[in-house]
This record gives sequence, C-alpha cells and structure tokens, in this order.
Amino acid sequence: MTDAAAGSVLGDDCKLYYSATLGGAGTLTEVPVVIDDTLNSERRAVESNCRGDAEVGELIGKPKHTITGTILLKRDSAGVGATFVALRDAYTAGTVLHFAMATGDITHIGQYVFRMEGRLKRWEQSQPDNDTVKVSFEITHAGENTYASNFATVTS
Amino acid sequence: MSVGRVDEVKVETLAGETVTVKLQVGGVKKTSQPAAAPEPEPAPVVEPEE
Repeated sequence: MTDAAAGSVLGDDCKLYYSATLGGAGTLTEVPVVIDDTLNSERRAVESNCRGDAEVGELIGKPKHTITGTILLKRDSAGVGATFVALRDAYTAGTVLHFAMATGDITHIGQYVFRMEGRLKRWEQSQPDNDTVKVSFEITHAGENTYASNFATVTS
Repeated sequence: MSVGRVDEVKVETLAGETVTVKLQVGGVKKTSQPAAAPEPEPAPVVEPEE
C-alpha cells in the first residue's frame, strides 16, 4: 500500500466514506466530492451551583460527536448520482449508517480516520443558478446505536 | 498498558476496486488496573462553641 504523503494536509484531499452495514464490518464507499467536512466534538457538561457563585462546578462527561459537511452533486454515467440518492434516501428513511472520515485516501498508510455511526439529521439542498447543486448535511449519533465512535490510524 | 485493537476494513474505491485496510484504533488503552485511591480529605477543623 502507498504511504500517505508527509506534510501539511489540505482539506480538499480529505475524504468521507459510508457503509450501510453497521458495526464496521461493511465495505466503505467513498462519498464523492464532499467539501468542508467537519468533525464537531465536545464533551457533554452539566454545571452545578450548590452554594453560590463561588462554588460553581462543572461535571464533564463523554464526547458528543457530529459530522457536518457539504456534498457537491455529481451525476454519474448512469445519469443519477448513486451515492447522492443513497444518502438522500437514508435521510428520508432515518436510516443509521456507518461513516468514516479520513484525512486523505483511506487506503494510504498513515491517514487518520474518525469513525462513527449515525443518521443524517439535516439535509439542506441548495440549487443556485449557474452553480453546483450543494447539500449541506449533518450526521448525529443515533441513541439506539451502540457502536463506539473512535479515532484510528491506517497501518497497512 | 496495552496496544489498542486493530480493525480490518474493506474499502471500495471509486475505480471499483475493493481494498482491505487495517486501522489501529486509538493508541494505548488502560489495562484493568484498579483506580488509585483518592487522597483522604483533611478532617474539618471544628471550633469549640462558646
């Protein structure tokens, strides 16, 4: 396998993959032309104030992850963007999918990968005149899903 | 301390080729060592009531 190129990572080299099979056992498919994909992660927190302002405490819990980004619609040779349609259908059906967000081609050794499972919570499709059709999306964790989101590195 | 798990993941490239990659999840993880006991808090100073 090819080693990932050393040096700074350009965002437009990064890739997003998905699989309809949950648990990480399914084959990942690249979502073509995703731009500005972002991992939003923050630990859950609750504030307590028992004895006045001088006694404010914050309890920090587990991280809460979401992925946001924008898909640029690209029709394939069959006349329909197959991945676009698959993700749109998953959005309308509320289907939980497996996602992998990589700092580059996931088949290159050394890429950093974040994986989570969730459903498309937001699907904003803009169709501006004389510009590319864009879909701004958000993926959130599904409460009934037990897959533990994780960070990983491609080793071989 | 021990090394995290390795997952094998299949990827279908845009060219239609299926490639298997190995993902090293995390770096190291804690073993099942018992957590260190918290330090006992100092006993409160009780002032005698007058």
